[in-house]
Amino acid sequence: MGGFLLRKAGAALVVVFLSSVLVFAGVRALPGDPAIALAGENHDPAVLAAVRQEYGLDQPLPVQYVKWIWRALHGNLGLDNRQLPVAHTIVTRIPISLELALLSVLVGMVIGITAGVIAAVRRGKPSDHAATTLALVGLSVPHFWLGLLAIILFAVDLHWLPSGGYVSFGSHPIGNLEHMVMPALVLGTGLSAVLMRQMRSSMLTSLGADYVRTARAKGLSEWSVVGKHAFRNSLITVTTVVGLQLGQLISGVVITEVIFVIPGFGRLTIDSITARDYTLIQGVVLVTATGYVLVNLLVDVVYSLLNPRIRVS
Amino acid sequence: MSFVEVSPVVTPRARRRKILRRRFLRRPLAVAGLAVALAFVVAAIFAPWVAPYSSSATDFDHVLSHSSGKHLLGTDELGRDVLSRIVWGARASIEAGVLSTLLAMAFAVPIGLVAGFFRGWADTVIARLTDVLLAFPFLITAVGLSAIFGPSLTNATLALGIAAAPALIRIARGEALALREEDYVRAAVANGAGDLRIIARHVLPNMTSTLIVQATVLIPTAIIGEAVLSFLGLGVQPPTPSWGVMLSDAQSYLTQAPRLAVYPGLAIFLCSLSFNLLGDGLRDILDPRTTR
Amino acid sequence: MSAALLEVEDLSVRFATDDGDVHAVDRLSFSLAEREVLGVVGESGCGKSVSFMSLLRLLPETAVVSGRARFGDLDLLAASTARLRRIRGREIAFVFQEPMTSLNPAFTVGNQIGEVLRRHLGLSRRDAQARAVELLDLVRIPAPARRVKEYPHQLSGGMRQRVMIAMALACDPKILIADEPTTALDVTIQAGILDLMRDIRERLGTAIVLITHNLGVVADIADRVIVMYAGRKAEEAPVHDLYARPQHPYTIGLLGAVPRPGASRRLQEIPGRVPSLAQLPEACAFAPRCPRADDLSRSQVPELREVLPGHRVACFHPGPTPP
Repeated sequence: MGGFLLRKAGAALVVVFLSSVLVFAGVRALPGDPAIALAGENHDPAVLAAVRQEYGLDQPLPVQYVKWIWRALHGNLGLDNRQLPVAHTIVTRIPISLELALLSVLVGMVIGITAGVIAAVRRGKPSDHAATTLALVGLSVPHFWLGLLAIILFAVDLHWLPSGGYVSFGSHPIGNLEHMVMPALVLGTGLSAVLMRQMRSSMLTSLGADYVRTARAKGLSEWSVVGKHAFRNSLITVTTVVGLQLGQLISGVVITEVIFVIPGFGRLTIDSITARDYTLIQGVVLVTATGYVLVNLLVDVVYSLLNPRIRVS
Repeated sequence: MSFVEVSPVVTPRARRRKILRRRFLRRPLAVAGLAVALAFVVAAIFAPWVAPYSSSATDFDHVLSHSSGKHLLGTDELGRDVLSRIVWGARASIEAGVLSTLLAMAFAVPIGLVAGFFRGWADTVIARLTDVLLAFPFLITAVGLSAIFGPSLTNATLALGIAAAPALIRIARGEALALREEDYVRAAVANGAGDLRIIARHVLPNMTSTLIVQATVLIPTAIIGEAVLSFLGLGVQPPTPSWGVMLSDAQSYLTQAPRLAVYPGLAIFLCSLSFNLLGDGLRDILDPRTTR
Repeated sequence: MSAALLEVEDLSVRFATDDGDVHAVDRLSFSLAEREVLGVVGESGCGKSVSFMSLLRLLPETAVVSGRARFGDLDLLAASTARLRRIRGREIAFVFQEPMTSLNPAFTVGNQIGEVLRRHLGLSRRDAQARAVELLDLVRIPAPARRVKEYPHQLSGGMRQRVMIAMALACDPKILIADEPTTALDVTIQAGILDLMRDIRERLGTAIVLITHNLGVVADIADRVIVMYAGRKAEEAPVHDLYARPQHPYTIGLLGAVPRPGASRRLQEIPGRVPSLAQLPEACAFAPRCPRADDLSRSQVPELREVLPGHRVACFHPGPTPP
């Protein structure tokens, strides 16, 4: 297992490094004077001179990159267009998005995995057809539409839940959950649809496997056969799928935060892009890529723990 | 130069197509998907004839009206006919969806093929690069690229195509890698067939089913992508209609006219669902090994 | 002569498929005595595995089983699945053919053996683990205390098969049904497994059913042999009798097809193919390939008749080959 993880960690590091180069080069490659871009479209010569000094724009590119990366590693991602430290903004916003993401994954996994197992065990019966159809619907529904519909129903019509905004858990736990319920359910729907299909497919394969026949021949209860033997093997396959869905999840968080007006990291991404705040964009993209790679690495760790062939070899 | 011709292991085309067509017709969901998808495509192409009104015809005396004989789905905040806007909106979605997918495939398939088939340093470079590009989620990349290119439908299509390419490269590469180990390819090599010939006759035709299935998955993703971009203001610009823009506009009128949010979203949903059903059906008939 | 442990009468198994019914087993009857090793021989598809799997209801739902199978005071084919679960692994145990895939890759060997002990004998985890080590030792796996914590992918094919046997013997079953236990293994490993089975019969007194298509294996350890063809019993006799005085043309053909080192005579193959089980004729199933076939065997199903003491044949023209 050590070797497997080491290789994955090494690859992750390479990807993070290359992403940072890409981000750096991307901003520099924009048409026009990078100083203007980094100064937030400010054309004041004095400001531009200061920006050039700050970023060392007169120096060769590799030097600029090293300077930037060095500062980044020390937690300094520069100042955005409103002269606020980028790193601070990012750090305050990440926990919010993290909460949304985690709740959504929880919803997605609980619904998706349970539905998938039930559909596989009752293959061909009405409950299977119903679940499979629902999953297909869940896959095709655009998140943001679902979000709007949810707002219409639960906020506008029924007045059960707030239509948007955010309250931190520390200050108001119930309020926090009230604001998070709809977004998490909406975001979790897409994930649960994918997981349900994958789980069903995996379970069908497992249930047809020889070792399940052996388990039955040993006189084990049907619970044991399905819940222990078949399920455990399917879980291994499903972990890979969850990893693959992370990209969708991140995009989903972004859009959900826009619709539900949640001041999270996702909204920051969009705002920075529409405002053309390049320093902020640089920081946001760097953090996104790094975070994504790290989470993927985490999924690899979980996978290697679950799969004995990797764990013990 | 003479060598023994090794015929591809793909069965005679005509017979295979008939078998596939028969299998497809046995699946009502897939057929339904095909029908609805075609309906959207037709609506997009023939919008000027299908839509009852033009997309920008305003009528300030009848703003936000409910459905009526004159306006089957009612009117929006500027008095424009919602149904017509949806039909015209299909243009943006179908164009973005289909064109961006074609673009991505035209770009990604040759690259992936070269990487997987020839291997060597080109493969290593391409594989690493793809890994890095895949570190950025699809929509985020599309959003970023649109921001760089500037908001317009063409730029959005371009952005979506580029964003979809890395995943496709990886798939094409995987297919090429697997196919080059097939016995009939090895036989062709042993018989002295040139690389180009092998690729054209043996590798590419056997990749088509996977690629077709991938295309039917990419199209709905791109359609939703275009909607998202327009929703965020990075795609189609008003007054050109797009389902995403309609949804964005509807946000301001959620309390007064929630139906303005329902219809465009429904269109996006049905359009993407139909392509998904079509894709599922195609995957079923082209790969009998999937557990159903 | 000990009382029959298992008595099967008119066992028939039919599979409902899209293209019609497939009759895998047709009115099979046999009995198994205590401490007996019964060899069941036949080519692939003759219904030997299916018949025994049906006894424990291990067949897919498309299978329709009829007949009677008396085990103790219970009819296995009529019992509830819950009742059968108490018998599976406890009184009648099954060892499957593919050791590679018959063990769950996600759990340790000890866990999988322990499962049976915990389920049927109510042992605690610790006791089950200890007993598992003993069982691994019984099946002659070296360093059992270490192996018990390992996963199937860490063991060789031969060792996995021994683990399967250990799992089957865990609760000291009365009957051990081994379905092609050596087919997936190297010849050298085969001998070891057969030795083990002999050992088991000696030490534990378990009745063994050995299903195989390999006549050599059967000659080695069986007491009695049943030869099956196209879902029906063709011949049944004590092992030495079968080899010395085969009566059914199919058996004769099978024995003629076994290569014997040193013999210079040509291997005799049986011409023709096994009939499709979807269309079993009301005639002798072997007739199309039989050198002795005539109008009688082409129009009626031969019944089992005792032609020598303890030796039964289903044939209208039994007897040794005319020279």
